Amino acid sequence: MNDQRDVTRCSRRELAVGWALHALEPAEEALVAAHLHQCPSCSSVAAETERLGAMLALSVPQMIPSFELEQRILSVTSARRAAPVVPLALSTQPARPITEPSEVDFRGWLSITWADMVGPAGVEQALAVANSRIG
Amino acid sequence: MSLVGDEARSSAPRLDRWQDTSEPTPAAASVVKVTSDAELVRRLGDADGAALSQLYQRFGRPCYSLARRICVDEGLAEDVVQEVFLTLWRDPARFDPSRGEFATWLMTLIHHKAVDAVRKEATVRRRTVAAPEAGEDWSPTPLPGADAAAMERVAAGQVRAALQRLPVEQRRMLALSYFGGHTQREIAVLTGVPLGTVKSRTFAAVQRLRLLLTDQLGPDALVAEAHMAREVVNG
Repeated sequence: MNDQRDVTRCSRRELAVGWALHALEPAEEALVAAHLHQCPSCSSVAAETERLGAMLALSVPQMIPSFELEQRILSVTSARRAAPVVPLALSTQPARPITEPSEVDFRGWLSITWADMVGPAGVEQALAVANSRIG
Repeated sequence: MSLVGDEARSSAPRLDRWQDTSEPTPAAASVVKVTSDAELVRRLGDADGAALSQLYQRFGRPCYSLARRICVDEGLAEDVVQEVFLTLWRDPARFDPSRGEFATWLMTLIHHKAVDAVRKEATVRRRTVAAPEAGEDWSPTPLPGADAAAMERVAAGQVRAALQRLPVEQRRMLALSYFGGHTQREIAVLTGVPLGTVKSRTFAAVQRLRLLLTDQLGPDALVAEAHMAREVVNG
């Protein structure tokens, strides 16, 4: 990998931009990620691109999410503190489970909020639905 | 994938001003103490549900707006926002305040997850239709529910204006990747432009947009604006 530090010369700088935009193919993305750890200039390019991306993100027309989304998100806080109390929002929104598909201990966490409500089979079913929607 | 951060972040415009209008206005900030985003995230480590609620009040709408823009599908967009906020709740240490603004970190994560989601559910979006930002006549009209006041409060207008000043081919590449969620290889196929050209045009678009925004806003404009919003005025 190129380890040049001059942003104007590192041949990977275009890839660094593509990486920050999440626009590379998976294999290429992995290679660039490794390169970023070695190349401060490309890492800087990626960071600046992410910052620019956030500005683009905030330039889109603003839309209001449903109140139920807020309920679903915030219900997890009460669940963590006062398990096994079943949040009302969850009990009325079984088709939109709170999920944490990428975390190591999410099953244990989910068991606090869901197991008493829907049972193990229900949890597994909810996870299957959620994981099919978001990888 | 973790987000890249380094010392260079500290010199860039702050983004923590770009928030939901439920936050106090600069005038209101004179009498209301505003807790920093980083402090709220820190409180999440203590399982402070009120901190999560405040962060959602600040960022829920812009997060959803971006996710909706990318995903198109309302339910999918809400799933993305839900996943990201619950990730934040469970592991707030993933955000390192020494490496950049919370808003940048959060919006990058939303973007990443939204793009992943639409790639899994490609049928729910118009993958073969160019993002509206890619066109020459892009002049976005606020959608129902849009908060024009919020858009005026921040520099969103300048960002859109800067986008329009990009050469149309550069803007198209950037829009297809960022808002369209396409990989550069997909863009090459969609547009018939060689992959190398897609990469170089996207790079050029990013560099030029940065220059345009720096020129329009000034290097410290957003920093000053953010500080104004955050400033705690005694008495």
